[in-house]
Amino acid sequence: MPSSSTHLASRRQRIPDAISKAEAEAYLSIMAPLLELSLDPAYHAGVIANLRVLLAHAAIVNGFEVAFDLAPAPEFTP
Amino acid sequence: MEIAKDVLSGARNATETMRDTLHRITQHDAELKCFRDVFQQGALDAAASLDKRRKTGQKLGRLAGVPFAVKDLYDVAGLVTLAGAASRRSEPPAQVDAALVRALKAEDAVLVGTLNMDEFAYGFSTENQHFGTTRNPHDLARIAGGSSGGSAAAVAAGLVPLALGSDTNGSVRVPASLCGVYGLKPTYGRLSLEGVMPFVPSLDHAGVFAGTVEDLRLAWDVLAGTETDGPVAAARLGTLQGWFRETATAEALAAVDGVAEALDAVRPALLPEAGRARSAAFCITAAEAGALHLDRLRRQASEYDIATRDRLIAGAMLPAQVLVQSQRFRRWFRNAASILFDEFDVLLAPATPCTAPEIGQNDITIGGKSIPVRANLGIFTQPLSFIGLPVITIPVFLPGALPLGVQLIGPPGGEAMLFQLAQQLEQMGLCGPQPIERYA
Repeated sequence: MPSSSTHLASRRQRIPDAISKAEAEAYLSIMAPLLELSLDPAYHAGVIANLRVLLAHAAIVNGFEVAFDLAPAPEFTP
Repeated sequence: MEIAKDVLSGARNATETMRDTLHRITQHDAELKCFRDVFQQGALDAAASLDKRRKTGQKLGRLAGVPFAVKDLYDVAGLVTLAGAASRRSEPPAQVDAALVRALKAEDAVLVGTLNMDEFAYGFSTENQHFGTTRNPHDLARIAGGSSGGSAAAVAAGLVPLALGSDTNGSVRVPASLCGVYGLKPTYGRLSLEGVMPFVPSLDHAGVFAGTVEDLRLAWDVLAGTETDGPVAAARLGTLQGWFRETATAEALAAVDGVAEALDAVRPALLPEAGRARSAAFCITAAEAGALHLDRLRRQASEYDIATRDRLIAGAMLPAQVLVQSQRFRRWFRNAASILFDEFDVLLAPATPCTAPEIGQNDITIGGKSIPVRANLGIFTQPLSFIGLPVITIPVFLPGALPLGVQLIGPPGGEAMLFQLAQQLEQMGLCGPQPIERYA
């Protein structure tokens, strides 16, 4: 196994509720204008629900320490 | 491929075959909803042209007269590529066929239509708000899986012997599993995506469905420009443990274990952090797809399927740090898989955690826990497409049960080994589609 794995248990514990509904709503209200998205208020509940799921997955990914020099770009060897 | 053999030998003409195919589509597709468009006249004209060429002694291709259809995100010249989205109706038609459509036509296969899918390929169920729900040919009350549900169901019902799909997170393997057909998701980058509507460019794969290993292999050889005949060793076999068993129903485990027990020397294998890989694939999917659709969301958000729209908007808002971390983890995970393939040639895992859910079913209980069914249909496929591994899903039928797929997973470029193993299992009678009486 690659040697760069470190589990950050404290972050993993946040998985079920990575972000609250109120936090997600606040985040949405900031991000939508930055992205030039004028959202019908009727969309908010669905987007917020998806944001919470997505950020829960993000917390799982962030709960893993990858070696600093491990970049996603391809490497070419002569 | 039987149809091609008959057409090439003159045992049956292509026009007759095509009439039968079109009749079957007309007869059954109203209830199955596999097709978006059927090219009645174009298919008959192409078949007649093949018959004429054969009569005049011209050489025909390896797929002479074989009807095929493509997921509605492959460009077909003269047709608007909708990708399951009504909002694309005003787009200009494609100027040329997608590269893979051209490759099949170059071997004299005949395109008969385009197939239903989840809107923009973002889903595992083919419950399309605009074009209807594709039904599972084994039980019309159940979903076909997605996003290439039209492709899998059309092959399962015998409407076409061959169909193209695409697989970003499992969109070939999930419907292949639920509909009981063979599905190939090759190594990332191995098949051309020219003329295929992108969804998540760093995860998108073209893929194929067929009713037999021989048909799948021939399609692969044509599409990839390769030749997979000849023995290739696939001696070191492993069954994936951990993540790939924790959220599977007893049926899914029985399907994998039945295959493993029938083969000699299958050892347990562990692909570390597979659950986290699924989460990273989820994040990359949302971010890339959200970015891809952002401009259209600004102008036409109301025209999207509600579920697709909300996912895409959320994805567009994902912090860049998460995308970068997911990509870096992807590199780590690929290295871990590479180490595992030092020990194994082919790995086995369930393709889906359960058999086809009912249309409208929201949850499934596995191991005493209730989980959302649609989001979790891809839990065993996502970690593998995340790092581009080639996979053939083989259809397994347990007595009295709906079909379930078993994934045969190889190292990058390992398609020939997978075909050999799939062929061996088919010859042993362990896998292969079962005819459906309703469509016999």
